[in-house]
Amino acid sequence: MKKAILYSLESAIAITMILFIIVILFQKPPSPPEFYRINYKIKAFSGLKTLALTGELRKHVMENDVVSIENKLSSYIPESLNYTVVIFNENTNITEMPSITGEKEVVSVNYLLAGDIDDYRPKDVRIYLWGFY
Amino acid sequence: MFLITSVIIVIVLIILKTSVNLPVVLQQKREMEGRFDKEMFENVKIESVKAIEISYHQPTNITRNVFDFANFTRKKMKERLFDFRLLYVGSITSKSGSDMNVTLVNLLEKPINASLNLNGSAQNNDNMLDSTSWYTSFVITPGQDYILTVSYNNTYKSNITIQTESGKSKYIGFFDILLRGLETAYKDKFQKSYNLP
Repeated sequence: MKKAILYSLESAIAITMILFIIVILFQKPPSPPEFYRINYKIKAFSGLKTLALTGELRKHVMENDVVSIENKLSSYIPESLNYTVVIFNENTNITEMPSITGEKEVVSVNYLLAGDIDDYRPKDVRIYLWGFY
Repeated sequence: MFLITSVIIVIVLIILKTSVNLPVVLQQKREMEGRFDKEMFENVKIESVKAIEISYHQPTNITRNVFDFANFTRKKMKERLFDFRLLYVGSITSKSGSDMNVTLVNLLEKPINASLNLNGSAQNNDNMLDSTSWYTSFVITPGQDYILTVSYNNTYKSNITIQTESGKSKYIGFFDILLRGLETAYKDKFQKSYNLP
């Protein structure tokens, strides 16, 4: 009698364990962190591309106006993330680099521009994104 | 006994799930990265053409600016571990006169034996180094249509259609662009024509 109860208890624990692991394994898998990062990069790039298509990016970049670019990008980048825009010429940054400390990971997205009408001055616009956790 | 069996089943389930998921996850990640790389390629194409358009009022600077922008792009893409290659032909005809000035730009990361052939009239450059341009000119009859054939190393050939008009100055830009990342490569060949002021 005692043995039967023990067997029953053991089988109940075993079934529960298997069911539990099945539920855990086969529920919708959470996206790996790399997915979030590449997704954020695509969103940030899409923001730059949209601003480029409307002509706003070109105008602000030629004026080195990163604040206006950052404001206009706010609808493309999740609020939980930190980001900043830096403009580079061929060799170096021409607007201020962000001071990012204690971050495990910073990703960047860049968009190239040839210049504006009658004003050939190639620029590299970069968005730095951090705060993924 | 039941517990030992269940532990074995759980381990098998975990192994199965991991081995089934991993290729799917990797494939999805690759697709997303590919999408991102394609966006960068489109950016390079659009701005390379833009280098012509913003120089429209200074026709003598057009090809030089395209060449400079290509070098700029190559440098920026290298920083992101992309390999950018370009073969570019810029041709300009003036309003008066019967010359077609042609510049070939080599950013193929290798020296080439280049040849330009305009309706049977050929000119060669036997050692065109990487990141250099070659300027030459052909005599034309304004108003006629021409085929400019660019070839190199007996392995590459492309035809560029050029329509000339008497009394009009025209610029033709021909691009053959490649952008290669770690796992993706995008390539395109196209030409743009402009009536100059």
